[in-house]
Parts: sequence; structure tokens; C-alpha cells
Amino acid sequence: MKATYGIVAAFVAALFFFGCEEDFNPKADFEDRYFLFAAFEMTRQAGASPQYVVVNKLYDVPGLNPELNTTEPTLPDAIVTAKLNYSMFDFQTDTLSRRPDSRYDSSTFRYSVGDMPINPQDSITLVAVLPDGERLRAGVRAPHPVALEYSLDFSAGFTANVNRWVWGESWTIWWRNAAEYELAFPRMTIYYERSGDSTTSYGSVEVPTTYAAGEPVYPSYTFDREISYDFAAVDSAMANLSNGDPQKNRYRVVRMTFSLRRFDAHLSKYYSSVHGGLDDQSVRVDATTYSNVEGGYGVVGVAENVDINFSIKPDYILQFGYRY
Amino acid sequence: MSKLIPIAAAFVISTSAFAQTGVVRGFIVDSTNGESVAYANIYIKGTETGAPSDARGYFIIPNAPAGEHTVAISCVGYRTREIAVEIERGEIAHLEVALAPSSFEMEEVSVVGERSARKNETDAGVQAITQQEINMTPVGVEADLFRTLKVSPGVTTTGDVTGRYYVRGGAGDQNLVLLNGVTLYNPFHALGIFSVVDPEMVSVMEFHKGGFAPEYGGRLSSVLDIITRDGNKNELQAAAHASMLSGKLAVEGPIPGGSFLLTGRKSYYGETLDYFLNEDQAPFDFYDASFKVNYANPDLLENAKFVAHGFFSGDNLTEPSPFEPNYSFSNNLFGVTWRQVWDAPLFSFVSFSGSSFRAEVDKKLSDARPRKNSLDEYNLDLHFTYMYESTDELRFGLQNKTVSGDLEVQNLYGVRANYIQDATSSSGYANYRFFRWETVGFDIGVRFNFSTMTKYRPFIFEPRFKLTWLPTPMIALKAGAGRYSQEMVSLVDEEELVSIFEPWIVVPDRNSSAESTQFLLGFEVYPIAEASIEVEGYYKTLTNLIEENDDKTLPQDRDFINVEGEAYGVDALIRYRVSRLYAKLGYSLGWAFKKPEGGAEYPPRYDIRHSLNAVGELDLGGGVTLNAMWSFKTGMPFTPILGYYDRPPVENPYRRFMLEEFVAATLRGEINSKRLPVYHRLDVGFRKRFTIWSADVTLGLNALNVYNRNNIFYFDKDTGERIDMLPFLPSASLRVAI
Repeated sequence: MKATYGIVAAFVAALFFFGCEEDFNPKADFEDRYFLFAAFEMTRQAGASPQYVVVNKLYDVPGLNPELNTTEPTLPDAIVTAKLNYSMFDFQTDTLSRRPDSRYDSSTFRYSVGDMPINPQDSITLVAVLPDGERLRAGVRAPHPVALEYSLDFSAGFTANVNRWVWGESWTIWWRNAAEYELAFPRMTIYYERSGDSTTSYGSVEVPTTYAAGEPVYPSYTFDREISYDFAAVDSAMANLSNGDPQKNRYRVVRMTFSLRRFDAHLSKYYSSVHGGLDDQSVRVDATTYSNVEGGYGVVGVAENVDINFSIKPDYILQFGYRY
Repeated sequence: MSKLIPIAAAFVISTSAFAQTGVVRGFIVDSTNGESVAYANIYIKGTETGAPSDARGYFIIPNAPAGEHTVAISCVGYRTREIAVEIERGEIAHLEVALAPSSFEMEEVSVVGERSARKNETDAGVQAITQQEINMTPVGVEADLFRTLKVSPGVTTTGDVTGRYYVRGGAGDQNLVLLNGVTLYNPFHALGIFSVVDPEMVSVMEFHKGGFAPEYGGRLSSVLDIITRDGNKNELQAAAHASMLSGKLAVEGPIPGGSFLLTGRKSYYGETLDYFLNEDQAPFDFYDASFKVNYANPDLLENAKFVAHGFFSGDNLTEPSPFEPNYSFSNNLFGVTWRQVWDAPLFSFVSFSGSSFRAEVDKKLSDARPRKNSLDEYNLDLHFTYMYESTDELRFGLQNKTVSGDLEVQNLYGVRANYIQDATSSSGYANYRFFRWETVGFDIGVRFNFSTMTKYRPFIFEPRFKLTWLPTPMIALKAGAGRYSQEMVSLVDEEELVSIFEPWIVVPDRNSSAESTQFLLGFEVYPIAEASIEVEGYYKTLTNLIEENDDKTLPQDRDFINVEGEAYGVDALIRYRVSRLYAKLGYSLGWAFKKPEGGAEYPPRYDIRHSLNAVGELDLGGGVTLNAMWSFKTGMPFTPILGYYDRPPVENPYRRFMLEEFVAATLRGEINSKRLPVYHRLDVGFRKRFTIWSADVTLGLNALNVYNRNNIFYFDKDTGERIDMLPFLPSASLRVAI
């Protein structure tokens, strides 16, 4: 029995000395892979619709920190074409300087076309042919147009001084026709001018939707198709606009703008797969980044900005001491 | 039900069959507290006749020779006792035997290693786990029932900080956990770190790793049947226990005609969990409470026992900030049972029970996806056991289950799904167990489903059989086979290493219920009196498994995809017990595969090729006990990094993608195509039991991962950062009983 105990003791001692850690490389054998990225803007206006595409390649680094890579990953030599409904567009290579703090000391390459206006429900096929013959392809359709509706239309200018017994405590904006799976990024902004002694400066404040535990709550991405702004939150944004400056009459409130940035299904899925997760506690190891590119990886999608300006009622502006 | 009464009556009438012999039956209890003693051996000396007690301490010897005999009762950890009994022809002798625990200090003679009195027991795939085996595993901050399971061959886990376990290549939701016969849907506290069932309330556990009997249904891979203690029948007792995480209190004692047991546990220092969660702040709070009352009154109903029991547990992660989500989970179980030993060698067990499960992720103002699940289940079960003079047994019964559930989820892509389900199933089973031949035991049975919860069920009959054959007295060859189905599933992604929301639903109408066909073949050898060696091979197919469709991006996309699976391997277990030492060495060799619909076959994360667990407990005398556990596993599959790429940032979605700036991202290779390095860890524990005044005090000191092995848990999917499992982690506990 003593011999058994001795063997066990020696085994445990060996574990202490040799068993604590070992190097491990979690990488598979490196293979060439290519990525195609494009977020086409649905501008609907001819003459002001540049579109951009980039083609990247996979790289490797010693260790596990990709920030160590200094080899330029964007490819300049691809032939990039897009078919918009029945029209063909050839993309040209742009050479762009990197920011001074970039880890790359080279220029970066992008493909662009000067004017490719995209309308709702347009069909787009993007193809990139690489010098080695690899072919990346993605087909998308621009989303339906959205129509905005309001719980109060404020045709005479916005004011938070409404009968709240009748209209409630908040102002709701709906965007109709958007699909359930499309992400939207709503934002309400108040723009102002501040007159100095000799100069005029311009600024803006974002309006929170509400306050929670004394903290403003700003809208984030949402799958909902509506957003509500507490009238009290708009009051607070207006009051805080001058940021404590006692000379409130130097401020002229210009307008309020509701912006809705929306992604189509592909960009929405891409955003969801790279940003956040189901919750903060779960650990998921193999969630893959969304891709709709045949022959490689990446995402090709369509985004749109919808901006609606509202005038603000003078008496509402004046009650905060500002000018209109 | 109405058809069963005449059948039962026919068995009652058939007592005349026992005219040439008599019957000895009864219960074995612990003399100190009146608790049932499971798996004791009861022999009629001078004959080859005997029987083991079951999990509730009940035994029956149907063919006892008439005359004056001595009955010997023995059990590991107890003093052997002999009783003189007069057995009359055609009559039943009823015994209530109290066994006294043995004490090493007094150098008492006790049983150290002994085979079951029924050598031809058909127990392929079954492991009985006693309180001593539960205690011999070193404690990791909080005592955990599942740590005992994890050292069992054929059982694997995917990390130190998850209680989720996988049995013989089956998924985590294929394991049924029964607490006093009632389904416990979420058996874990604190993200699955340890079990909700306090080991101290457990009387006995039976772990069925496959080939389970027809009385068990509804799961494909395993059944853990936990029976809690009845409470001290002799005197009022209270015990308080404090660990670095929680405090608990148990009160038990006699009542007229029975006993009661009340337990409660509450966390008071959730920060301890931060070691497990790699989180700076995880404001976890949990509780569990239970009661059990048993009552028997011969004036009211002879040989009957009534039990009422309940169990309640809850976990809350409540963030003070409105910008952080809250999480909550709860189980509420209750049951009433009527156990009756009839005049004929018929034993019946009637139970009405309910189980309720709630889980919710309240996003508040955070970006988390809101999810909510509620499930209410009610069961009416009738079980009968009839024992023939030949010692053959017939077990039969009826089971009715009614389930109502509600699941509201939103997936990563924002697509919502809502399942409101009401379903009922009625099942019956019959199992004839041949024990009439000394060297052969043979079970043949079937589970049949009159009505099912799912619309598409692949088969109505689930045949099961088991065989034990003893070619020599020292060797038992064992085999088993059966078909199994599962109508309730948990929507857990097995690639989610730590999962906070594990909802349960009835398999939706568009899918078929999951099914499995299994085969077992093995042997058990007793080379010396103190040791046994068990080896068992298995093969199982798994079909119609469902998983959440992670790629569901449109409302019209399917919520679930079908998955097929296959698993096979060999498990071996060596037990060695001498007077002061009990040691177990388990080894598993296994393969597991999954194949999603339209995808390629791959090994799941729990496909661990070799695993070895050595666990031992040494009684040093003077109330001092040492225990240790060493685990070794070859690497788990993981998805390797193929390389890196630059992607457009989405952190400011209001800006147009100008494709001038990028952030680095990781590209993963083929799923689970590479393996992590080997895992090994040594845990040790020390217990000192002593008496202060009239209080029984136990001091516990434990340490996990004593040589601080850096076992890899995973590599972060975004940053590639290596996250290790538990480091060296000491802990202490104190238990005071009066």
C-alpha cells in the first residue's frame, strides 16, 4: 500500500511541475480567402449617387492579434461590375491615403462608380473578378420605400405643449412598409445657431426618447417600426441645448430633424452578426459572420437615409429663452 | 385505468400460488434517523434465497422456504444484522429492520464490498449512486450533485463552469432529471454552475445512462432519478451550513405517523461566482427550498404510506442599471404519492405531481434580445409491481402528462417567434422481468403511447429489453436494447458554452418527435471481494433532433432544423473498497457525430475521445476524511481560426459605409475541425467532523485545480483571446447540526 501511495504522490508532484500550461495554436492551415463589401446607398437622385465597393483578402499574423498585420489587405486589381436592373456599371479603382495612425503604411484601394442611383425594389448584381480568376458575386434587391406617420403631425411646428390628457405623454413616429427583419437607426436632432460677438457657431443636440434613473435614453438599433419620444425628454433636450450658458438669447433654434437610417435584410443580418449578441451572459463560440457573397465572404446590401425636418413653434422656443 | 383494477385483483387472488413457501418482505431503515436504506442485501441464511432493497428501502423475498430461519441484512456502511423469522406456508412475514451505521473508530466489522443479493439483476446502463459516493467528490465552493455524475464513465461536460452534462454522445436536453418522480426542467443554479438539488437532501440517486426501463420515457439519453430523504423519524434535528457562497438550513423530525424534512438555501455572496463567470460583476442571487412530509397510519390503511413533497428554486440576475438586462429562472415542483404494499406480493405507487418552469430575459433598455418561457406540467402516474413465486416480476403502469407552455423569443436577427402550446400524452408500460433462473436475468417490456403531445410521432410502441447472464459466479454478461422517443426539447445551442436561457417546448407540429435506437453490451467481473470491474459498450442512433434555425432571417423561414446523430463507445469502471478507502476509476472511449439537415457531419463539442476520472475517499479515523478527484480528458473539438480580415465598422451606423476604414475580424474554419489540448485537473477535499457540546460540527476545506492547470475553455470569437477554465480555487464550509 505504501508503494501505491508513493506512486500517487510522485504522479501528483509531476503534475505540479509539468502539467500547468502548454502552448497551443488555435489556427487551421492558412488558405486564401476573399471578401467583398458594398453598402449601396438608396439615394434615388441622379447625379449625386456615388457607390463604393471594396475587395479584401484574408491574412495571418504570428500569434492571435490581427492588429499586428501591416500588409495591405485591400486588392486593387479586381474587375468590378454591377448590373442595376438592365444597366451595367463598371467600377474604377480609387487609391486612398490611410490615416496617419493607421497600422498600414500603404495606400488603401477601393472601387467606385460616379453615379448609380438606386430606387426601391431595384435589382442589383455585383461581380468582382480577381486577377487569379476567382469570382465573387452577390445579388440584392433594394427594399421597399418607407412612409412615415406621426401620432401628431405638427404641421404648424413642433411643440411639447400639447394637451397630454388627449395626446398622451409622448410623440410616436412610425415607419410603415419596412420589413420585420430590417434594422433601423432612428435619431431626433435639434439644430441651433449661437451668435457670438463677431461670429456665429452651429451646433446640435440629440433628443433622448426618455429618461431612466436620471439618465437620458438614446435610441439604438431597433427591429421595431416605431419610436416614441417623451414630450418631457424633448423639453429636457431643449433646456440643455445651451449647456448651462446663461446668455440664452444668443441661441437661435433652427429646426428639429428626424433621421431614419435603415438597412436592408443583408446589412441588417451583417450588423446583427458582428455587433453584440443575444445577451451579455451567454458565451457563444461559433457564431459566424453573415455573408451573402458567393465564391467568398462579405456582405453586399442597400442602406437608406430618410431625413424629415420639422419647424418648431416660436412660443415653444421662447419659453426656454432662445430666439427663433 | 378501469382495465387495470381486474388485473390487479387477479394478482391479489393468486396468492394461493405461494402455498408451498412463504413471503418475507419489509423495509430497511437507518437506526439513527429512520431513513430508508437502499440497496441493502437481505438473505435467508442457509439458503440461496435473498433480495436487495430498492431505492425506497423496500424488499420482498417471494419464495422463502417455510420454517424458522435467520434473515441476515447487510449493507455497505452499516453493521450486519441477523433476525430470527418464522416463515409460514402461504403467509407473508413483514419485517421492519433498522441497521446501525458502522464506525471505523470502533473497528467494527462492516460490509466493504458486496454484490447484490440478486446476482442476475438486469442493470445494464444503470448506476446506483449512494450518499457516500456523493460525498466523496471534493466540493467546488458549493456542493454539487452533478459533480458526482461527471466522474461517471460515459458522462462528459464542456467546461468547469457549466453543470450541463452529456451522456454517451447525447445532447444536454436528452437527460431527464426526476426529483421524487417529478421532472425538474432547470436543474442548475447560476448559469449552470451547480445543481439546484442540495446533496444533503438526497437519499439515493439512480443514474440510467442508457437502456432504461419502460417505466421511464420522454428522453433519449439518460435518466437521473433522485429520491430525497424522508427526514429523521427518531428525533428533531436541525443543521446549518455555511459556504463562501450561500447559507442553508435543514430541519427534520418525527411527526405522529411519520416524519418531515424542510430545507432552504440562499445565496449571500454572489461575488464568489465571478471566479466562474469571467465577469467583474455578476449580481447573482439564488435560492431553493423543499419540504417532504410522510405519513403512515395502519388504522387508516395498513401497509400504506403517503408522502407530500415540494421543491422551489429560483435564480435572479438583477442589474441595478436600467441599461443592463435582468434574468430570472425558477422551478416549482410539488407531488403527493401513495405507496401501498398489498396483501398479495403486489406493490403499487400512485403519484400526482406538477412541475412549473419559468425563464425570462428582460432587456430593459439594453440591446439584449427579450425572451420568455413558461411551462406547466401535471402528471398522474400509476405504477404496479407484482412478484411471482418464481421471483419473476411484472411491472406495469399508466402515465398521463398535461403540458401547457408559452415561448416568446427574438433571435439575433430580430425575428420573433411565439409558441403557445397545450398538449396531453397518455402512456402505458409493461415490463416482465425473469429472475427465475439463477444465472440469467431477462427483462422484456414495452412502452406504448395511447395519445401523444406531438403531431408526428415515429412510433407508438417502444420495445425495451435487458439481459444478464452469469456464465461463472464471478462474471456477469449484460446486454440491452430499446427504442426511445422525446417529445419535449430544450432550445439550446450546444455551441453556446455558457447559456443563460434554455427554454423548453413541445416538439412543434411541423417536426417529428426525436427518437433513438440503442444497444448495450458489457460485462461485470468480481476478481476479488473488494473490487469490481464493469465494462459496457454502446451504440445509438439519434434522429429527428431539432435545433433552432440560427439562419432564420425571415419570418417565413423555418424556426427549426432537423439534426441526425450517432454515438458509440465503451465505458469502464473499476471500484475498489477496503475498510477505510473507497476508490473508483472510470474510463470512457467515445465517438459522437451530428449532421444538420443539408449540412456536413461534424463532431459536437462534447465528443471527447478519451476521458479518465479517478476519485477516492480515505477515512483517516478521528472524524477526518480526505478525498481527491483527478480528471483527464483528451481535447474537445473546436472551430479553428482560419485567418483574419478587415471588415467595415458598424459601430456608427449613421455614417455611410465609405469603405475607407476597417476593423480587424476573425474568420473561423470548418466547425469543430480541430481539438483543444488535453484537459486535466486535480481537486482535493478535507473534512473534519467533531462534537462541540451537543452539536455535530463538520469543517470542510476544498481546493479545485490544485496545481493550477490552465485548461482552455474557448477562444473568443471576436478577439481570439484565450479564455481558460477555473484556476486554483480554495474554499471552506462549516456545517453545524443539533
